[in-house]
Amino acid sequence: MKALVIDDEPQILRALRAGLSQNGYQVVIAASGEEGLDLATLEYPDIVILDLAMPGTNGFEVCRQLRTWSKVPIIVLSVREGEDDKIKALDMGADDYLTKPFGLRELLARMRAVLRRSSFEEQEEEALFNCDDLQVDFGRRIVTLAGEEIHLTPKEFDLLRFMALHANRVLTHRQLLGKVWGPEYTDDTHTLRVHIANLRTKIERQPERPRFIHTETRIGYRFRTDQ
Amino acid sequence: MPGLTPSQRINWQQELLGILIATTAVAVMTGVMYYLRLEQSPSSLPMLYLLVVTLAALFLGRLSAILAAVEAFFALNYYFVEPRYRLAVQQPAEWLSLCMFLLTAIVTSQLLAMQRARAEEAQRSKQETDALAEASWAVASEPDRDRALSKVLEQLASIVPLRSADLLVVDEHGQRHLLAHFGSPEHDRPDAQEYGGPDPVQLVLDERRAIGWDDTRHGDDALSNGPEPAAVYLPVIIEGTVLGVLHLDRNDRQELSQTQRRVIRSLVNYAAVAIQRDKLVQVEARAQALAEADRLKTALLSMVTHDFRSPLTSIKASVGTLLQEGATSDPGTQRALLEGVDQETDRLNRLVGNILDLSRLEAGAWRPKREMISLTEVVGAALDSFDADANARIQVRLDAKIEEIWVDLVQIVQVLRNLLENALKYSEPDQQVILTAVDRHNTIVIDVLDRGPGLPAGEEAKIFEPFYRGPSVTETSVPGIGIGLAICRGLVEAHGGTIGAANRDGGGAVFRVILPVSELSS
Repeated sequence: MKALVIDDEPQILRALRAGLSQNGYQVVIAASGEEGLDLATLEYPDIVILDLAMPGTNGFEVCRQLRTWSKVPIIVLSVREGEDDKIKALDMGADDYLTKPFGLRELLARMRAVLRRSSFEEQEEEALFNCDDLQVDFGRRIVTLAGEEIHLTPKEFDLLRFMALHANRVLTHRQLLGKVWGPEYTDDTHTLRVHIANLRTKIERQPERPRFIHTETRIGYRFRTDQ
Repeated sequence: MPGLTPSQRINWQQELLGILIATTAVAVMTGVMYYLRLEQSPSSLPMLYLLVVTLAALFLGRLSAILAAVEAFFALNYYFVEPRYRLAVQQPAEWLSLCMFLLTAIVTSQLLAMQRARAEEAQRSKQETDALAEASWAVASEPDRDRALSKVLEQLASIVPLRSADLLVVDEHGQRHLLAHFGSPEHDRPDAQEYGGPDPVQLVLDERRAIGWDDTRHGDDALSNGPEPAAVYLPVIIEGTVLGVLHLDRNDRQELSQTQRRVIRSLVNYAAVAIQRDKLVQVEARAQALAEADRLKTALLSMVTHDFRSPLTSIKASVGTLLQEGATSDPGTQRALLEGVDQETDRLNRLVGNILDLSRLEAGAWRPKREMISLTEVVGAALDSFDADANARIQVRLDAKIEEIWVDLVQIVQVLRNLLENALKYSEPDQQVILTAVDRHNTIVIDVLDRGPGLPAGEEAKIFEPFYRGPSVTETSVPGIGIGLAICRGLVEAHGGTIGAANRDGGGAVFRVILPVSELSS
């Protein structure tokens, strides 16, 4: 696996190179957005880790340009207060985000998740999705929890299906509404919240401690398969 | 005649009635005297007529009295003086009686009129003194500027008959604000600008001179084309600065008397004082806010030096040990040191986050973006930030009746997280922490209960002050607590809610957050 790390902070590059190498990644580093774009065309990385706040060509621009020709998974790095930035980057096609400062373990988990996801999506036709005792049969549109069938409305099923297909990946309100309801509903956050609440009461044992559907405050939701 | 009040104005109806009554009185008197054959005692006759004339002068006014005098003279001559039933003045004494009648009529009515005028003058001057006293009291006792100004305008209306009065001020951006209004609704008046004349308000502001005020006719061109020829525009000036304009829409075009103008000037000065005082109060408040911000900055600085230095010290020490050549290669020690570094960086990160939040709150820049969100989602998002061990210690009891609440998800999640984090931190690792939420009269009451050491007596409110630290909290034990609760309070108050703390029965503390459930109940 080849990872491209784009950040203007030399100490972070050094730390990530060491940390990722130790975990079996081949690491390419770029100290600016321009360099990152060049290396992306030369090295064909399997995953890109991208800092949003950089002088010159910033993370958004890199993300936008990368997406014009590549589907490589992108994880953006942002500060805690930058919720709007995170949403913007995710809506531009970034696959996930991490808030600075972050631990290496967290980064590795996110990287695994987006890499697994991108391989999973290629076999989207796979009819069955399993996670713990939750089973989703995409073809027959049947959901069972611990062997018992759960009745979902068509919209709830579509929502669950979309989240399960993009498991472990953060999905913005806009993405969920656009994909499940349609482009004209992208601002109707309340509809989404109501459906998520209903879905949780049906598939979660303790809705206030969700096992599957996690809230990413202000950003969106994440269906987690790992615990 | 300047200064006439409506009661003094000649009322022809009243005058006609007076004449009628006077004539009747003379006729009746004549009849009575004729019937009683009083011509036999001629000296009493003029006396009785004089009585009628005097009474007419007293009660009916000058014109009626003079008429009564003339009538009395003719009646006396015709009915009682020889040759009777004929008008013929033969003796000079009869002319004397006419003179006497007329003189009595004129002098008596004149005296009376003078006395009445004096009484009215006294009444008016009392009214003016009262108005000034009332206005002065209103300005002195009413802390609210606009209410004080309304009262001043009311007093103005008692001095000059007004359709309406408005007090406008101009702020530093040249924007006009209506501070007080009296009389008919403002929108009933047509806008002077529509009539194409110069804007009288602007004229007053520019020239610092009144319009429609006295006989200099200054600024009349601004009024004559306008909808209110009887309007007056006065500058409100204090210490040489024009604060605004007083606009009076008068009932009539009568010129104002000297006294009226003096009183109006004084009332305008009261208004100026009220406006100026309000400005000073605001300046004072701003100064206080700055002083408070300054205090916070000082507290922040001293906290930064304390709370940042201790983790930095331990990080530096750990790394230094690890870097030292020929140091212990014991993997257990190395790992312990590195874990320490990891924890200390987390601590620093939390500290930075809290300080940032606090500064955003202090700047008022963090307005809640509220939406209807299910309570479960809010609580779930808060619990999600704790690891499995911490979650095992948190019991949650939610009122099933509450479905959605109207909150900013991020902010209320942070409030719950801070409260839960404190509760976990301050109680023993084997103790449970309880989170409950119940619906009460359209509010949601959220309690976080722990079995920690509780709160120092009398400090229950102080703990929400920024940078507060309980006396029992040592420097190294729990950092940043002083900020966390201040942030909670700021966020809850931004939601229109309240937060409080108390000691729990049986030991420990309970933190209570009360939030409005919906848009309507807030």
